[in-house]
Amino acid sequence: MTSPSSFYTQFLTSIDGWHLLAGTDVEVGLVPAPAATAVYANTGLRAAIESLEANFLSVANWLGGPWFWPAATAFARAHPPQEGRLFLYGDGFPEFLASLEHAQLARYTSDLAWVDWMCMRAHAAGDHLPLTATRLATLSPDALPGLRLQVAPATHWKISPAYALVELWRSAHAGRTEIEIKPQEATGVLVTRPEDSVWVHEVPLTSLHLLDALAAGQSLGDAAAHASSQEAPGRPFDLQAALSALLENGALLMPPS
Amino acid sequence: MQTTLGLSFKPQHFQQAMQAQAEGLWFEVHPENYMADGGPRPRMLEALAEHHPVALHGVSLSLAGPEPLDLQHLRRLRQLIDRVKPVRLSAHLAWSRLGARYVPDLLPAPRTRALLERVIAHIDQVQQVTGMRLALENPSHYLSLEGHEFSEPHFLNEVVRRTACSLLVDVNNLHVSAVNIHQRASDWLAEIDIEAISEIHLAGHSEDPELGPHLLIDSHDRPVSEEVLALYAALCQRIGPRPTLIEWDGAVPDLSVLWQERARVQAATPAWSFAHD
Repeated sequence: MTSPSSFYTQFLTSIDGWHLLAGTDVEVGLVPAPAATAVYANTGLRAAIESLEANFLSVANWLGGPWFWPAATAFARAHPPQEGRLFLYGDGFPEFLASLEHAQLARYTSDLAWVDWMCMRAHAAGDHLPLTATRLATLSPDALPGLRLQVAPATHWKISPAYALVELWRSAHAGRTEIEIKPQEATGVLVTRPEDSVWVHEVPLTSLHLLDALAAGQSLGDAAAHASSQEAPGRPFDLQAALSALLENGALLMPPS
Repeated sequence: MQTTLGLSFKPQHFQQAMQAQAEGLWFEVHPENYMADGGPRPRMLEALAEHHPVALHGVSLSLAGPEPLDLQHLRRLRQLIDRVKPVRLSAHLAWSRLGARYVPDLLPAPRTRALLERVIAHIDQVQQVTGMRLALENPSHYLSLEGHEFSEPHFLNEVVRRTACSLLVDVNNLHVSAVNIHQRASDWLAEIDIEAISEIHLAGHSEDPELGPHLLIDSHDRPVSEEVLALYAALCQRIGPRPTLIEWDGAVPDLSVLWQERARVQAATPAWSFAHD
C-alpha cells in the first residue's frame, strides 16, 4: 500500500509530469496522465499564471499575450506558488524575465516587472501614518541630525536605468505600449502608499540614497552624510530636495509623539 | 420557511454591493485574497461587512494534507476574522500544500483512517484558533483513487461527530463527481448527516474540451445548470432552508447577471423566502 507521504509526492509528480509531457521534454519513465489529472494540472497552473498577469500588469500589457503567457508559464513551472495569497505571487519574476530577456523578450521588460513587484508589495503592506513636512517642522532644529526616521512599510525604491522608466511604466500599466522611450539621466523610482492608493514617483537619486541609510537605521544626520557622499563630484548635495521628495510622497513613518 | 441566499463577492462589484438591498443577501470571499498586512484589501472587506453579512470560504488550509497546518496562515485568518467578524467560516476536504509547494487547487486523498485522524486534528486546531465553527465542504472529484476505507459521506459524518464542525454541501460538486467518478448523488445524500448541513453551495460547471460531457469541470464560470438546480430543489425539499451561496469565480460578469442568477435560484425554491442572517 502506498504510504501517505508517498501518495502526496506521487500525486504532485503526476500533475507536474503532465506539464512536461504536454509541451516540452519528456522524462523517461513518466506515464502519460489521464485527462482527469490534466484538470488538476491545468487548474493549478492557470491560477498561477493569471496571478502573475494581475500582479505584473505593465509587463503583461507591454509583452502582450503571445509573449507574456509562455514567460509566465515557464516561471510558474520553475517557481510555483508557496502559499495561498496569490496577490503576492511573483517574487523572483523580474530576475527571471531578465534571464530570458536577451533570448526572446522585449527590452525594458524586467525593469517594468520590478516596478510592478514594488507596487504589489506596497499594495499589501501594513497601514501607517506618514511623516509630513509640517510635522517635521515642529521639531527643534537641534534634534534633527540625531533623529532616526523609519521607512514606511509600503515604501519601496530602486534606481532607474538611463531612460524614463516611470513614464514607460505608467503608459504600459494603462495599456499604452506605442510610446517613445526617452533616454535620460538615471533617477530614482519611489513607490509609496500613503493611504489606499499606490503611487509611483520619479525622484532624485539622492532621495534613494537617503532612504538606503535611513532603512539601515542611521540617524538623519548620518543619512544625509551618506547621501552627500554618493553625489557625483562637483554636484552640490541638496538635502531639502532629497528629503522633500520623501515627505511629499508619504515614504516615511510618523514618529511616535 | 426563511433562509438566506448569498453571492461570491469580487472587488469590481464593491460599489454595487455596498448599495445593494435585498432580503437574505450575503457575500462570500476567499480569505486568502484579503490577508494583507494592511491597505485597501482588508479595508474593502471590512466596509462590506458593515453593510452585509460576510462569510469566509478558505481555499488553502490543506486540511487533508500530510503536514501540520500552516500556523502563520492560521494567524492571518484569525486576524481577518477579528477584523471582519464573518457570519460563517468554511473550507474543503482537500489538500493543496506539500513542503514549500502550494498548488492553487483542491487535491484529493484516499479516505483512510489515518487521514480521518489528521483531518479531525486539523479541524480541531482551526476551530480552536479561529474561535469559529468550521463548515467542511465536499470537493469535486476527477479521479477515482484507490485505498479509500470510507465512503465520502461516512468520512464526513465521522469528522462532524468527532469535531462538532458542520457540513457545507456543494451540490454542483456532487453532480460533477457523479459524472466523473460515478459517485451517485442520491446515494451520497441518503448517507450524509443532513442535520449537520449548515450551508449549501451552487455553481456552474463546464465540460472538458476533449471528453465533453464525460468529464465535467467545477469551473464556477457560468450559471448553475438545470440538473444542479433540480438537485438543490430536491435537497431543500428534504432538509428545509439552509443558507445558500451562488459561487461565480471565473469569467465574472456584472453584478446584474449574478442578481438574475439569484432570482433564478429563488424561483427554483418558491416555498422559501429569504431573510437576513
